[in-house]
Amino acid sequence: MKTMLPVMLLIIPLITASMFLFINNKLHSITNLIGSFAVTAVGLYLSVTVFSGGPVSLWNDIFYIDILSAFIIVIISIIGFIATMYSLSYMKTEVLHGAVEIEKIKWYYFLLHLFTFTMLLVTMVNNLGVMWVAIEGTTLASALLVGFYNKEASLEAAWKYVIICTVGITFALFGIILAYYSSVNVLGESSNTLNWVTLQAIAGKLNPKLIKLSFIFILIGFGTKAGLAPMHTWLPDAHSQAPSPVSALLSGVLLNTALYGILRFHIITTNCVGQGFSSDLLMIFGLISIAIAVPFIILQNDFKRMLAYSSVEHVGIVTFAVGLGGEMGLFGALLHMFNHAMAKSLMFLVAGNITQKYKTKKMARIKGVLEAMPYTGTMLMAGVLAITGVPPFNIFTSEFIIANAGFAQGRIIAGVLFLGLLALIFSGMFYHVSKMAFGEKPFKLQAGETSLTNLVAMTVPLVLIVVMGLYVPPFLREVLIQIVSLLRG
Amino acid sequence: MISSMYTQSIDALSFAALAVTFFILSNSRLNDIVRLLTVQAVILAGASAVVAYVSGITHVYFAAGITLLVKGILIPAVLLYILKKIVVSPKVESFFSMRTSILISLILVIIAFYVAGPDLITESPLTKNGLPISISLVLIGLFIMVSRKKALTQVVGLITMENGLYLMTISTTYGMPLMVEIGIFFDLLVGVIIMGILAYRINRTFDTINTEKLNNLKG
Repeated sequence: MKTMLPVMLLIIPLITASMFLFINNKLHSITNLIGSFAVTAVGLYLSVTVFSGGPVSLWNDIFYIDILSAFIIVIISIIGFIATMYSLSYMKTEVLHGAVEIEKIKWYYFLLHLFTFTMLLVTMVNNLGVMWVAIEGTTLASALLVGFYNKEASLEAAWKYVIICTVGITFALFGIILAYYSSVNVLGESSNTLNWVTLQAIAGKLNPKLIKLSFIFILIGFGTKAGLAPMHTWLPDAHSQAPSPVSALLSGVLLNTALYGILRFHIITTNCVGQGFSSDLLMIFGLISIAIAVPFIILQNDFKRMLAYSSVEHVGIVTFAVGLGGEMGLFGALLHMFNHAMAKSLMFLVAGNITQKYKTKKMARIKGVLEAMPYTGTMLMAGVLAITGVPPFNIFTSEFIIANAGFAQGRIIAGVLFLGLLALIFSGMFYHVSKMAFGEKPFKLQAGETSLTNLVAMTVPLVLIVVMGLYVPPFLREVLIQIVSLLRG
Repeated sequence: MISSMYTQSIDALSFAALAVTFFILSNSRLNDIVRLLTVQAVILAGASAVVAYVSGITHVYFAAGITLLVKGILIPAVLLYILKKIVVSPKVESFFSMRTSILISLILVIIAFYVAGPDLITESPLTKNGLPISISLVLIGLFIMVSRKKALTQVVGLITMENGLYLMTISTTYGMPLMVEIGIFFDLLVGVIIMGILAYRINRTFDTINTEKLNNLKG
């Protein structure tokens, strides 16, 4: 039974996706409910199995789910479920508003579940090459979701997304081929030459020069998918033009799966080349990403674009933390991956509510949210405080740990820079959001929330950002500590 | 040691693939460029077949076959189909003149040969020229993507880059594991289909596939 879990986890979203090609519109809600719930349940169950029982491997190590993979699967499961549930009434409203034709809805759900499948696949395969295929798969599955509204802006965003990410990923393939070459030189032609576990084990024997080159290309490639600057240019367009639940998945989950790839290869590189090379690169790219986000957030006028640049910032934070390394740095990075997923998806769903209500994404035209939609408004304020790292919310905890790690390593300049940039972003975002939340609602706007089910879906991340701001549950802390020791070898 | 006849034939085919790339650069008709991609695919399939014969590794024959099928037939078919559906002028539009493009590409080839010096891949099983030519293809493919304005020519650049990487795998490592190769081809095929769908929609909305028009999302 335990060994069939990975297969189930992959087959369920595939089956759910294909159902949408056949069924009637009326069955959409129930299919989504069952399909999404099933995948989430299996995902969480599998993860718990791995947490307590050790890695799960299947079919001669083709699938290999260790504790890091399981951690990402938890994030995918939770956010996937929330986004799917939110989509139900969100898309119904979009149809009512005429933004989407009703015949297209089945394609939305088809692509949504397919997208979930590809993300799960990324975390579950052992082979670096197949992981590459899965990551490109996520781009392809989500491209049509990004362009779903079929308007000029959506198509532009979708095109840039596909092209830039595919080019980036092609660079990563170059890096992977170099790594494959070094591996084959050590092991000869054999079936496990690209497996993570194998590569980590033989890392000491791989050619350092090749692996350094390989890492650079993989960092550029997967970094493009993760939204690291300066390869991030597709991100603000794609995350702002996509339907909001898709944006939540893109920002909260997909970026994390790309970071997962970078993390795995960073470990191999460090084992092969020694400390410093990949860590320094990661810290530099991380800080650059945070810095680039600053002006674009402060001078922003589109709500979802601001959230997208915030994602660039947070990916930078995780990357910086991974570069810092050490127990604290890695712990902070992993915790931040989880915290950001919760906070950012909450914000995008809040944005979904607001943009549907106000029928605009321009922040200048959105006022009085607390008056028009009290629940959404409260979540908006909580969300922005969370996402900018204000206590007592969860992101403050992980950012604090990361800053601590930086200073503990004696990196005063980097630490001060880190904190300074975060402060700037806080001021920018808080300014924009409070202008939206407070004040009087537009005269003609009817007060009232858009949907009850949406609010229910949104309480999950809301609760998590509060609870995990107060303390990190011991269970999770234990898991993260184990992942850190796995990564440090 | 492998007979020099095989090494020479692989060399010749690699250079032929590079030559096709220059044909692509100097051609100004979209339809012809897509057909040149078929030629490039046939050449690469031929090169992989020789590698398969020489090394005795059967799965490289499969890779050769899939190259022929996907890159030689299916992908060009998809692109030609989309081109038919899109009513646009069949000429290539570029930021550089044809002469400048060829000049730049020649410089890229020189850079590739300089970069892929003998010290990088010391034990290439087959030929010393495989790696520099692959890198040339990747660089020129990138250049094509960056310098061309029409959406579908960017796809051509992408395929050229992938061809370069494929050449690299078969000339340095007898090809990647079959599962990975199949996955890569599948990704590429689906990718081209999706890009085709997007290009078709872009054409319907903007009345052109000139990506200079895709410039409104800023800041």
